[in-house]
Amino acid sequence: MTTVLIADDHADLLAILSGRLKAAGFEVLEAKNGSEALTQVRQGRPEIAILDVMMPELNGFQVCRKIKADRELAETKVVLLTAKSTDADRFWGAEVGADLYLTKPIDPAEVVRRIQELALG
Amino acid sequence: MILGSTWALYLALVFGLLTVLVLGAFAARRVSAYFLERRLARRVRRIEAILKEHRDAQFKEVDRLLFQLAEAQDNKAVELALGGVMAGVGETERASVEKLYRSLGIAARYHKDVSTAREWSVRASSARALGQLRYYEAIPALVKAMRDPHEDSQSVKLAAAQALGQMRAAEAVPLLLAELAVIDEWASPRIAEVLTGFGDTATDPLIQALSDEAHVNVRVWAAQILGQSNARKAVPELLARLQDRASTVRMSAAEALGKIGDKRAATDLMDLARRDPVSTVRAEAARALGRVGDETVIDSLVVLLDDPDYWTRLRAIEAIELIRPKDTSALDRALTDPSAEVRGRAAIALERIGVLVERVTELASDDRRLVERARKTLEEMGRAGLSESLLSQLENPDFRVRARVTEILAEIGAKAAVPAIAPLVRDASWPVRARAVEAIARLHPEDGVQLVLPALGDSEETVRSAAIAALQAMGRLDDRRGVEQLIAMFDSANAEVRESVVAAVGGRDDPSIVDLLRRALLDPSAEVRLAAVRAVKARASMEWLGELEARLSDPATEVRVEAAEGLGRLGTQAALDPLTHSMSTPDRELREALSKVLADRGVPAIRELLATTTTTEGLLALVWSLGKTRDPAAIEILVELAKRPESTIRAAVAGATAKLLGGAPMPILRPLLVDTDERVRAAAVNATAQLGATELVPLLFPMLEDPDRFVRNRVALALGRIGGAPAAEHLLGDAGRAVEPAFLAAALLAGGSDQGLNRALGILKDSATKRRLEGLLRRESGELQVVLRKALSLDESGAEDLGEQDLGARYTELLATSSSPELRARAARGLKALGLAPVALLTRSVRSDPDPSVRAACVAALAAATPYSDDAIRGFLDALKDPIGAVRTEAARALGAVADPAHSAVLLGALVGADEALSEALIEALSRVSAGSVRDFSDVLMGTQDEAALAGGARVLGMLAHKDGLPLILRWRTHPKARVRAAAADALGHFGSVEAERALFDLVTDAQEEVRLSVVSALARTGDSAGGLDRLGRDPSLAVRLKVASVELRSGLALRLLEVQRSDPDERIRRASYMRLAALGLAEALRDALATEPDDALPRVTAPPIEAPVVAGLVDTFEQSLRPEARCAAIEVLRAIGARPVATMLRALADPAPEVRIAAAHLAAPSNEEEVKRALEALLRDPDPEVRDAVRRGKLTLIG
Repeated sequence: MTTVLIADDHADLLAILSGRLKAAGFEVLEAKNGSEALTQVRQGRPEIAILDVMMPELNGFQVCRKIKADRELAETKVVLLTAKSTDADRFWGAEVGADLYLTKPIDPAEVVRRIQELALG
Repeated sequence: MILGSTWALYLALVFGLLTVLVLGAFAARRVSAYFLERRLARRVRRIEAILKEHRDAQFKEVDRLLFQLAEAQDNKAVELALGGVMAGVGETERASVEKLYRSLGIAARYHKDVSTAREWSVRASSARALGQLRYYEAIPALVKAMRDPHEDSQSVKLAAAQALGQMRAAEAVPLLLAELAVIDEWASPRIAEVLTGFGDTATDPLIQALSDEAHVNVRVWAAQILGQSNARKAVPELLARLQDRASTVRMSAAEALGKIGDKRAATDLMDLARRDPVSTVRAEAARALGRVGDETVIDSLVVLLDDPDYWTRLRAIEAIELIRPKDTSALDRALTDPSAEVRGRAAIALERIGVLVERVTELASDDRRLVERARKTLEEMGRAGLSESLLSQLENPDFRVRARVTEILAEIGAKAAVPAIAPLVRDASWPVRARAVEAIARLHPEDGVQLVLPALGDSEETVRSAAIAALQAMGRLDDRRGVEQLIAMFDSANAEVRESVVAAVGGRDDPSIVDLLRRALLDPSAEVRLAAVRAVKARASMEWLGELEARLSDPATEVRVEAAEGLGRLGTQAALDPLTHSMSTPDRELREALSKVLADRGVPAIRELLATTTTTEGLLALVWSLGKTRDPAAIEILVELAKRPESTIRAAVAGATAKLLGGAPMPILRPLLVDTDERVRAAAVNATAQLGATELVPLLFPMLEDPDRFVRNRVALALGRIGGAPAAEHLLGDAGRAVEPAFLAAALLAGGSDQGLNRALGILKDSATKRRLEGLLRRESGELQVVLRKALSLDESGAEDLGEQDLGARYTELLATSSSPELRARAARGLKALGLAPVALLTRSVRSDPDPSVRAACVAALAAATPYSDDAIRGFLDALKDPIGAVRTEAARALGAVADPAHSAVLLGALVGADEALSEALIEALSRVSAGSVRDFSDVLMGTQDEAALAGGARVLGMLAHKDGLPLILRWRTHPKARVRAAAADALGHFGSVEAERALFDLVTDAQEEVRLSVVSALARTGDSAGGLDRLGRDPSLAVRLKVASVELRSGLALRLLEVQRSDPDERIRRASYMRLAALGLAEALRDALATEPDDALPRVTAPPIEAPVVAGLVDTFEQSLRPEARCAAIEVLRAIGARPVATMLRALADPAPEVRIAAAHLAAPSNEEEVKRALEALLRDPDPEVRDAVRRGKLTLIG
């Protein structure tokens, strides 16, 4: 079973996405801030990490960069989820190694579909 | 007194009278000459009038004219008047005028004068006149004038060549062609130039000359002239010449076909480029392909990019550039060529084709693969020398390009890019700002901290974070305000910012930092706490004891480990107590860290802790600590611990024993090998193998019948590794059946016997065994894993994803079994690269492999693995007797690495009949083996007679330059063999003593050129205080003079020699000395020397390839010199050689010294560069009137 981490400081969004992903057959880990997300990635080794960009402690860009810079974690696929949608933000997402960049507001069903695609490689 | 005054009066009168007489005579001569000139001018005018009258009548009455001219009875006036007419005569009148010249005997006199006139100006003007007259009878005389070794005026030679060109008559062609048969460096190019001027008239004879089997030189020149004349008609014959037996002809034919650009040549040129054995021919064929070919020839050119000759690869790149193919991947590949020049040329080609712009555009793409490709290519292009082209992209309007180019420049370490990157710290786009800050940190300029500080206040968190990380990376932070700013940033909500702040300022002594660290140790983020613990650990102060102890129970493992290490570093009892209390922790990583800390404290400290530790975990940690000390003093304690009832501790004791260095581990391992617990027995077997404890091998044999299969497997492996031949034999017999096949294979491989290797190969053919080994590989670690991987790699299908050791096994197998010599040689080279040396196999191959390349590679592989066994050294000595030179060369290198003085005689003997590569290797080896025993080596040399050996020995003594070698060298300066004297001279240059230099001076007049050439290099090294080079600069041998002109000298010596060389008749010598002056930055001397060059010679002595280094040297001189005279001279020489580097011109036009601005105004006047023109305009308002005047005059000259 594919494990997915969702990191977002908005509890509602976290709950919605978590529920949808579990229903779609994923094992789900949750984190409320960037530091927690990084710890979860190190300990739980999820295949996919969905990271909000604007999070306390460490932002999504920083977590993504640390994941991709760590040889043992670099294979983790990272999805950045954010309300920041300027060209500069998207560009930086690509620079830090994100595999997918989704902008809010989101359609949970669409997110699940994209995660399923990503899980299939 | 009165008498004296009278004499003085007389003397004054006589002197006065004489002065008046001399002045009078001089004045009379001037007056007489003046009247003679006036009379001549009157006569010339009169004859000109007659000539005009006849010219107006279209020379219908030539005979009457002849009569009139003869009547004038003034040959000089007639000649002058006729010269005026001849200069402006049309084709219709030419025959009449020529008749006049011939009939009056003037042409015949020119013909005679060109060979016999005393003054060069008369010879030159006669040659020019003969050319104008098309006086074909004079062709041999003109050719002779061109070729005359006694003709020291280049003007005469040039005039003769030009005259021949003016004739352009078919009759002259065979004569000129015949002259090309003679090899003459000066005359042949000029004859060729003349023949080129003939155009179509000469084509047929030239095509015919291509088949002149008797003279290679004629075929070469014919091909070149046909190419230069673009003679399409010659293509079939030129194609045939691509098969010529002479490589120079093939090369010239290829060059000509390239110039003609006929597509019919493409196929033959491709063939030539691929197959010709001579690299210069392949190179020329490649270049020609670029001119005649289209994309169809690209494949051939791509193949040439792997040519062993770098010049051919360069030409192939140039050709690809000319064709501009759509697919440039071959050029991308050339960016990683081993030659820097090739890499640089590939980068330039890519830029010219437009790939740089294309890739830069791709940097703005959303497609990650495109971006990565662009990034990679641009990095390689930058490394290959195009970083300046990348710099301009920092102003690209697309922020993605700016950001990524900034990153690329940092990646390639382009320090020169810092001034261009610095402004990007304030770029409008924040990713660019972030990348700029990161780049500055990586490039680390001196003012890096100041450049980055403003970014601490950036509106974007990522940029601020990058700035702090940059400050941390750059280290020293002296700016107080910057530190305060950083401390304030610790209140950031972002953990990465806080972590970077701690890492950046944690090492400072400030009281405010102490508070910050205390807060950081309790930070919610593990990363921040870790940074804080590291900073505290680095302080190594007891003040922090409490904090470090508290961190031993931190939730993050890394923090706990760092805290333990911090306490260990404090080292006091108070600091170690918390560590011992934590020894019972179930946290394996912390225990590991604690044991390492304790190991650092040493065996006695651990002994004390053992007394108070009761838990199994604690005891285990202490056992590990004992192993980590590697101290044999731990044996005594381990013997006791081996008696503990807990099997885990006994097994750990075995493991710890294996780590100890030296001592006698048998008392520990012997009982453990017969322990009741199978894990303990297995651990003891492993330890026995790791320690190489062969004394215990007899105990291992019966263990092959151990009831536990796991133990038996380990025993087999151990026997394979340390049991030697008896164990291998045992394992190949029935005993092997008790072991799992996979382990048996690994054990046999470790044994290394041929029989064992074959059996192992057979076992691994079974797929189930392979899978079993793969499974083991995932679980095992350490040395055992190495052995297993080695076993696995024997099978090709199992070799994927294996590391270096596996590769080593693969190479070993290939070398032992492959029937292909290429594969065996590759395998040996692979072993060398890995530093692995299966000595038995390699020495066997050195002696018996039928292929010399394999033997040579095996010698090199053996030489790469130290220390050398006796077998290996015997192999080197055998290889030194190999019939093939390349093998002997490798053997020489290997023996050099062995560096045993006992080998000096055998190495010296090998010099007899050695080729150049072998001689070099032998001399290098001899210098190594004799370095510590020069006197012994001299003794060996005394007993040597062969001149090659003596010459080599002399070179070795020179390289060593030891006083014990000097007496022998001094003796050899009078040796009857020139080769030995030359080598002695070379050696003397290395000694540098007064005695050595004096001896060298004796050899300045040696009868043999070879010796004098050596003396030149040697004197250049010693500094030549006695002026030997001055004499050699006037040496009758051109080769010696050329050497003097081209050796590297310090500036004083170069200037001294310039006085000798500037008057040398040979242009090459003058050119070489000018090049040297430029390289040394002696612009003023260069200017003065160039001023004495004749105008016609100046373009040649400064023409490429001299131009580039000269310009570079002059630009450097201008940039670096503080003296206006030197800067001025540099600018004047640039003007003299017609070089106009824009940046230098601009700086010179703004120079503070008016004389430099004046020189720059003259230099810049013809420039079309807009910026230069503007700078010149600005100088019209210069405060110095002379500068303004110079600018105006420059403009007027141009208009004129």
